[in-house]
Amino acid sequence: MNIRKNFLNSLIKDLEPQWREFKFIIYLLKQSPLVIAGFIIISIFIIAAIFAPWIAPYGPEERIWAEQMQPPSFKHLFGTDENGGDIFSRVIWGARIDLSIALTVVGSAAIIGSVIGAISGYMGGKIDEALMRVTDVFLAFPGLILAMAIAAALGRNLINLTIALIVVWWPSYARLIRGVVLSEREKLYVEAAKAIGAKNTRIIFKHILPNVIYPLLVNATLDLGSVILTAAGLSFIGFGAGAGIAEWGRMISDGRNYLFQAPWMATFPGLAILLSSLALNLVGDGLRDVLDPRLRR
Amino acid sequence: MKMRDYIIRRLILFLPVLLGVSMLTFTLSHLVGDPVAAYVTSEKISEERIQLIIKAHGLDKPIYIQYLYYLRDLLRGDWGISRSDSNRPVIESIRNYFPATLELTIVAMSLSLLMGIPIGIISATKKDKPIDHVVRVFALTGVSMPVFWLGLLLQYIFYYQFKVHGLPYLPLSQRIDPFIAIQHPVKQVTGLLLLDSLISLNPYAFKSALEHIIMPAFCLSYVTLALIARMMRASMLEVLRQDYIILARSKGLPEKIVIYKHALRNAMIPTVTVAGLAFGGLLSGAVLTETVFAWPGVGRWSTQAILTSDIGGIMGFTLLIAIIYVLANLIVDVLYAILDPRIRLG
Repeated sequence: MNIRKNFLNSLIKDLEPQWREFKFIIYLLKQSPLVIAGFIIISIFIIAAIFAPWIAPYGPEERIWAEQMQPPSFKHLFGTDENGGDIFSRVIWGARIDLSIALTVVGSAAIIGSVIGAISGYMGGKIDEALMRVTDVFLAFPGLILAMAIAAALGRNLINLTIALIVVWWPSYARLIRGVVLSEREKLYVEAAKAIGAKNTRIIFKHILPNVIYPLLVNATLDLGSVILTAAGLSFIGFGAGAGIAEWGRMISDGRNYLFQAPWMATFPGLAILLSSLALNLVGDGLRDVLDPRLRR
Repeated sequence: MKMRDYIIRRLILFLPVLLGVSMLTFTLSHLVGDPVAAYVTSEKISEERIQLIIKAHGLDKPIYIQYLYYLRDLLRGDWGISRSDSNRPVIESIRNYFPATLELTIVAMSLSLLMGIPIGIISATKKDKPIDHVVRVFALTGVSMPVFWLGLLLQYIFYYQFKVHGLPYLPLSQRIDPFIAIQHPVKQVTGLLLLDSLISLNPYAFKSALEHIIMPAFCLSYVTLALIARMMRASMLEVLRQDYIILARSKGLPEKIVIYKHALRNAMIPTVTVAGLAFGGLLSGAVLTETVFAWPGVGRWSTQAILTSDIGGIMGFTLLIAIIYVLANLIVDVLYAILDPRIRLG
């Protein structure tokens, strides 16, 4: 009992600096009204996505045939589309699709990219050279266009769209992580770990990778915004979501056909894209400013 | 290191990237299934013709030999057939559509530089004043703006609403009014409509082309404009903090000279990089913008190609954009070295 208590006490003591750092970061973040605004907006979207069945007044593909192309009113806050679908509900259901695509893409790309980047940076030599040339090739394309080509080769649906975006996004993470690993590799604590006989995998994953958490977090937050934009753009030009699916890009593409009769059809899904992406950028920018000590003036 | 050596080294690094890019498009066109598809027209053709095509492109050989054939064909200018573009050779489609895209991106890039740099400077010199806050919010929405949605918004306001209210409105889509194109045909020299109509002294066509490019060019430039303004503001603030600016001010130099003569040149360096990198975004944006405004460029051609599974067209387009993008990055690197001697010396 005593030993356990001692252990806990020493653990708490050991974590004290990290805890203080964390509290300081939160304190700094709270100083910026823009970060708070971004955080609130993105929380609203996440809550809407999770609790869509309870929040949305209608189902994602529910139609009220008698109420086609109605302008916004109390009954239909954002109006209805050409099939009598409630736009407000569809925007909420759309948050589910678009946010989960963004999370899947950024999550997978970050994991794949980190592993490859860490191996590349730590091993150095020929492996590093080869892996970096591969990332060069992927980075030689503008993101949207490479994703277009891949999605076209795989076939047009939401799953292939997600795969295509992962293929496009991993190289930037590999580059980022490689850079951090390269500079950490030379530090004394790595040498110490080597000296006591730690294996390479242990050094990479236990000692070096924890150092990349912050840059990774900043990048991932900013990327979530760009993935939402890119996915919606691809969906708009006919990839991804099929007819009738409540996905924001697809809804805008449908609304385009009725732009002058029912402008609300394209307006509200577009606002959802703009706001969610903006909120993620605000939070990401704030995180970067706070986590980079050089910018903390 | 000498400037020349630096450029040569960058050029050598450029080749493996191009090889890699071609490998990627090669792999993708094989992923689709039948690689023959990129070379045949959509009409029914005989079995013998197919066999001929297979022979000509080495499609019966092992995969690495096929790649060499593919490379040879690319260098020869045989990029396959674009089915969606009435079965034309891909190279010909590119020649047809690329000038329109080039014109749009040039105008958009100029707009973003001409507006972005002054906006950034004003924002930096008026830091924390109301105008600065407006600029910052504008710059932030820039990176989060769905371009295609912005295009629809512009169309709704400047075409539809203006027309409904009897105001002078901008044309909805296309590059030029079809009637004007028939009445006052433009002789094709460069393929850039604005330039061609100027050269051939055709004011009607020029006016129409100018009216048609305003909305798509602004729509496309928005993101880059915001990026450049943001970068310009940040680097200007950084430079204004330097000792030599304080010195210049304490010498009693007018603020105008301090900013435009001493600070601007140094603040431009990061902005040039951002502008170059933003070029990729501009090309991606062109696909969406051209779709919205029915602009007859390579972007719209590519979306047509995708909707009709025209694999020759898709891969040709992808390859073209990658080459332009890599070239643009190369130019930025060189420009950067010219602007900042520390890069080539270090």
